[in-house]
Amino acid sequence: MRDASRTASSTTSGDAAGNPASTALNIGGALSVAIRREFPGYTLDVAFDATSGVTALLGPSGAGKTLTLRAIAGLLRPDGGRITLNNRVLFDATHHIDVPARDRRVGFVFQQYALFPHLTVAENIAYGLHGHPRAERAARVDTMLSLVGLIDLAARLPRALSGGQQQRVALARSLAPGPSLLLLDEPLAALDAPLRKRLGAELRALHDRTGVPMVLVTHDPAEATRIADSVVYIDAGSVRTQPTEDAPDDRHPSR
Amino acid sequence: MASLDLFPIRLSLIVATSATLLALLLGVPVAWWLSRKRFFGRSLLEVLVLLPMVLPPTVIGYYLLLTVGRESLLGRAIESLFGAPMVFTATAAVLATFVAAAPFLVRAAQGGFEQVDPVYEDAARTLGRSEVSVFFTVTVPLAWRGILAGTTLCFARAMGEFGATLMLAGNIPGRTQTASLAVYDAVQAGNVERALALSLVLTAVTGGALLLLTRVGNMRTRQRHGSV
Repeated sequence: MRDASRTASSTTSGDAAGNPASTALNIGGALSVAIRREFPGYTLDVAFDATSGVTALLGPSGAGKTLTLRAIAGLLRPDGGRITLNNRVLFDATHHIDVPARDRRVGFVFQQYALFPHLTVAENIAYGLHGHPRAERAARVDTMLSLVGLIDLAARLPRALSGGQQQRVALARSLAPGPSLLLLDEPLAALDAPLRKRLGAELRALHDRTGVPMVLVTHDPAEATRIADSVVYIDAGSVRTQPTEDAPDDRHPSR
Repeated sequence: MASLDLFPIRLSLIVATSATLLALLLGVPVAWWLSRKRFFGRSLLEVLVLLPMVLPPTVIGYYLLLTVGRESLLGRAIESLFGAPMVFTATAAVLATFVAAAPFLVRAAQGGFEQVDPVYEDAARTLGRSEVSVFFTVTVPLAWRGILAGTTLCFARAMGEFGATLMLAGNIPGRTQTASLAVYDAVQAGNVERALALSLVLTAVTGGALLLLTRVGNMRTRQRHGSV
């Protein structure tokens, strides 16, 4: 098991409203995020860089972690700021760039997995491969199924699967099109404790095998430490501090 | 008794089917729009769409007469374009039936769309699908129950349409006289045999159509029933 290295290049984002991108350190990471979005009574204001490894966004529920993921995926439009992935601009408010979600090549594993209930496991995984020739698509689905160890369940519908199996299908589906980045929203939250630990390790192994950079959201510091290379702490809509070993435990949701 | 003239039944089926298809084509996108988007004037549009459900059909017909009748601007444009007025034609019957019946489809389809968790559409977007593709591969298959229920209601209402059709298309035997109008005429004329025969055929045909639609629903349910 690996230790979180605590080297996330997150910045405190007090001046993010101005030109937040300039304050974010770029250490050659895959992902650079500096965004702001106003909601009634709440401001999301986040800036961080993520390396090509596994990054955990840690914070209490309601802190804006999920909103941040949605903004990176193109499912939520920030009011201002900039998002780049491997030097490719996904969003830039000043230059009116807003690449639609379908063109971002950013995979998303939703908290409740959001597997299409009317499609089989194989059809779910093939869904993102619509541009490929039929034979290639089938081969790719098989590869993904064996990657997550579910080759026997290809013809099942999602509702016939256990929570852990559903999570693996969601992973396979999001990885199938070969994304440049994979976002995971509380990927283990829906599972019971023993399974959490095992699938956490599997998630880590999956990253090591595929090399796809991952950003995962969690409110569990131990989980963040166990799975991620670096940790970014988000609270009350902002990146507040670099996390330390004991810091997150005594924090309370401020929203 | 002379052999039964089935023209009114045929016309009713053609008019009701055309109106229902038109309602699917135009009503489903409107239902989706109402279920997913928050925009200025949304409530107004919703009321406007549903108004024909509560208005007396004669009022619907009267408004349509004001809109596309021979004296109206639109009516004159149609007349100069096609060389003949639209009122008192089968086309007018389709239009009147469509306006009277489509709200039932919109209402039920909107309910169906509201049952679909938007997270599935988001998932489809992150998997590289266009909005149109998301709509047809995720939204519609998950909302089909509401759409089918709406289609059934719409068709049922269309088969029974009387007042709006009478106002806009008239009651011309062999041209615009639908089954419901023909039954009314037969009763008025004291032709009990014809009224009964038309009613029975209409009941059988409509019942058969509804049975077919219900079976389509059951088939889909069985086909998609997951094995554990």
